[in-house]
Amino acid sequence: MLKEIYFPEKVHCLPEKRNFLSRAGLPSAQQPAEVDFLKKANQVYLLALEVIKPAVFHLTAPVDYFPPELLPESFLNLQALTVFASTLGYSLDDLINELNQKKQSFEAWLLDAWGSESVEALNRHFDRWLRKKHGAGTRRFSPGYGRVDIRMNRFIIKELLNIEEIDVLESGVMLPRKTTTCLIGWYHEKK
Amino acid sequence: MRRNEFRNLLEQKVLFLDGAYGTEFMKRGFGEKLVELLNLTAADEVRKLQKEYVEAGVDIILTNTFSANRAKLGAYHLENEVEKINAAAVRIARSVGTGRQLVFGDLGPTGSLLEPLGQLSFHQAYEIFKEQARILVENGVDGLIIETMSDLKELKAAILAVRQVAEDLPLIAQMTFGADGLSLTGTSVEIFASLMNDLEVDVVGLNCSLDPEKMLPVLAQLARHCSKPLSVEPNAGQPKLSGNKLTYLTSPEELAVYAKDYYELGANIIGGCCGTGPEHLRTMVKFVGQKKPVPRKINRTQYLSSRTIIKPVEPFLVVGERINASAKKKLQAQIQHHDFSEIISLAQKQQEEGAAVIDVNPGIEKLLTAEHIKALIQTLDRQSTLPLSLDIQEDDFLKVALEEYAGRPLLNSATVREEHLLRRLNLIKQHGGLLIVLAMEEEVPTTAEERIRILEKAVDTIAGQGVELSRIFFDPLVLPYGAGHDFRETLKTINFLREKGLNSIIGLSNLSYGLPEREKINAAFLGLCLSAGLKAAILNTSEVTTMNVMEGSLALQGLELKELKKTSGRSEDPVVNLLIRGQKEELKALVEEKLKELTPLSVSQEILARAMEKIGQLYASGEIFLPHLILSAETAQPIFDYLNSLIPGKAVSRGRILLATVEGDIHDIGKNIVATILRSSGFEVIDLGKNVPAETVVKEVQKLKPDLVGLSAMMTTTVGQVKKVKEALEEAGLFLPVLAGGASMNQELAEIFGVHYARNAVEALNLCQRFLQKEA
Repeated sequence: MLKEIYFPEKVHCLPEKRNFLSRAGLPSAQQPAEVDFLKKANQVYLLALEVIKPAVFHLTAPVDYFPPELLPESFLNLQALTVFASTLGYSLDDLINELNQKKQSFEAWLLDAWGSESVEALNRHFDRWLRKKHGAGTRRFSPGYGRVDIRMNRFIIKELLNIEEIDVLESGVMLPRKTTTCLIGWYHEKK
Repeated sequence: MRRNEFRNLLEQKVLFLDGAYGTEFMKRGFGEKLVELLNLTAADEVRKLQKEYVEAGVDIILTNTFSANRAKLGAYHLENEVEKINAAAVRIARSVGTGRQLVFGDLGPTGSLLEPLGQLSFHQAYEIFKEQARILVENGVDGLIIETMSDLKELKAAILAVRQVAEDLPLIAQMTFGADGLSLTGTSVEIFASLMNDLEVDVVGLNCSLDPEKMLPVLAQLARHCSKPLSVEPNAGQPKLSGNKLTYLTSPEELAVYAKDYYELGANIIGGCCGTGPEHLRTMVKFVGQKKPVPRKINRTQYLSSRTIIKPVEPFLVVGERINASAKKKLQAQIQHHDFSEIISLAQKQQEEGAAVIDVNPGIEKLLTAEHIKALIQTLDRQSTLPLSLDIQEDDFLKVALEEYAGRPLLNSATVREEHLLRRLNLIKQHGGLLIVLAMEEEVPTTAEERIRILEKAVDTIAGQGVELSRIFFDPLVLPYGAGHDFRETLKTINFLREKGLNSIIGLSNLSYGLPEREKINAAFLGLCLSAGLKAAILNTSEVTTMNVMEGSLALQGLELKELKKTSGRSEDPVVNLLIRGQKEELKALVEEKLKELTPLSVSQEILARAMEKIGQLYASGEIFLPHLILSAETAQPIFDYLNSLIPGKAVSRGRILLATVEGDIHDIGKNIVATILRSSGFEVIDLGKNVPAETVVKEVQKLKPDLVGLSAMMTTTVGQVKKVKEALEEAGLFLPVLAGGASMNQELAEIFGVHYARNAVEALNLCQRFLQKEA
């Protein structure tokens, strides 16, 4: 089975403004924020959008292609499974680090929150894209939840998808930081 | 579509309006033509662009008719094509929709300023808009949009014209503002909002001039003050030249990110103006998504305004009473002779004394014509006075006054006689404003009980007409104490109004009519009225005791009068003040005084020209507005001419400037303002007019030998002509400085073209002064 790479348009990585600001610590009830704050937040938003290099690595195969420890219980009776890793690339990490070094911690903080929401926006988009292709499926699932150990990320990234561009630490934490792995099971996919 | 259907739709979801036409056609190689002509010559191109907007997901597409009014087409000798161009535009737009999109007829400005700032009359503008609106409506648009207006009065003419031909079609009314929240003519967003809240428009909005970021705070201001649904269409930034093409730098993503903020601020319709294209709209539609509009917190304070000054009616409204020609024979005669100098002076004095609104009673109306009323209102508009209370009785005169009035006035007054009250209510529904309702029908009731009964009847009638009671000031009637009337009846009626949460106003001075030492009586009674809950008074602001008692009484209630906006700029220089106020006679007298000690040249250059420079600075710092600037220039001009006539030999000139609007462009408002300002500062100006080819500029420069050339280019499609003129001049061996300004120019373009950029008339003046530091 060969992995495929999907390069999304940046418009598919645009996080919800409200979610982004909530994650950055501005409660939803306080929104919309003051115009001056919004302008600063938007500058960060657009800067982030400029630097990210989003990509999704994915592989779809019959369920028995995957080791049982990768599969949550609810996935065991399915026909097929898609595993995918979404990333915004190292350039966003580099920018956050650079800003932190320059003591621009406000911008760095906002960028970090933006990245988390952006990768989620990307996942939502890719999720919809997959469902159009494969029909009905399970909810999206990520290692670290339920019985699937987060350290399975290493297996997903390095063995299953064989991605050079993403590193995985012993802990299962991935680099670039704004990277996630997900699984979706398909009910009707033929073996 | 009917208005209530559209309003229901707006409650359900945020709608997307399409993007630009002019700049988009230019990108596609149609920049040299009037883009509205494409409706006849290249309908497929128009259809293609609109189809792309439909595919991008917009809900409303506009007809390609922004400049298709008689005034603008006439400048291209296409006035006979008005019908064809507009009808074709509707047919094209109708043919591209999927059935889900609404088609709105697009109406842009006439391109000329209305009187008193320009030459176009209210009625001419009204007829121009009415003709275009009629064609669009007859050809089947779902609604209409009036956009990119910079003159509140022109917008009002357009709204009234549209409503004349389409009473029940949805209407969007948009103005264009600078980043400071002021229009070219000095109207603030708050003034715009407060008038639009009254008029028969369904959506109020902003478009053009500003990029998405700069639009944000201006929209926030509008969202706070406007009670109607909101629309917004920013530009895609400032145009930049890359190669031979103009491009706009705001990315689709940037527009989308800001569009989300617009949604959060409560926008109901979001679209794009200059520089935005289908890709911008596609990204925006995708990012904002299908949403219900966000409810807004709206400031419900009532305001009165002139074109440039806005005043809250709370906590207490002071209306100056002294422009009352019915009580002053001399004033009456002056008005009959179109001499408004005393009126201007009274308006200014009352402003200085603390009035928020100036009552204008033109006296015995049988002695006047509509022209007197028109001239009176226009004169006060030119002076940028406080908001007016129109104390005019004849319906026809009142209608003329309202048409000429740029702002939200107070109408003084209506009785509760049903047809009288209904007529007055209709006027404020149509033209905007607040109304004073007297507690009387045919006869003047003497007891509080009778007055209260009449007021209760008035409240029912007003509510039945759908007019908010907060727009009404009820007058409990003040009758002369000297004639045996009991002032306590008035106090009881005020008390009733306070308990009902209704606004009250009195004509204070009536109480002391015929009595000695009126000020003491007036002041004492005002104190009593204030503690009974009075909300406004028409009074004599020169009565120091009365004004002090008012302030003291309010202070005891924990209230104070506050300024919302700084009024017209004040300076230490008396010449500056006389110029700003347009006081020609006083200025002439002062100049004569100076001439006793100084030479005419010194007075011209060291006093008058310097005062104009200070006025330029006040304008640049936002302390005075465009009407002040124009008025100052016009006031200075005859004095300069007079001083010149006193200098033997050649007239004093600081330099000769040749001005032109470039070929293909018919917008000359900006150029005309620059000409006025330059002339008033001692420059000789040769104005070649609009739509001037580069070859003509060269020929005239060779013939007239100016020291400097000033060019105006408003449109992105014509801004390249600036470069053409500059190159043509150089090819002819003419290396004089060239200034350029206009909406499509910017510093970067100017540098690329090798010209000097003037952002506004004052910058043009400064540049001219810098380049031409010579004296006669």
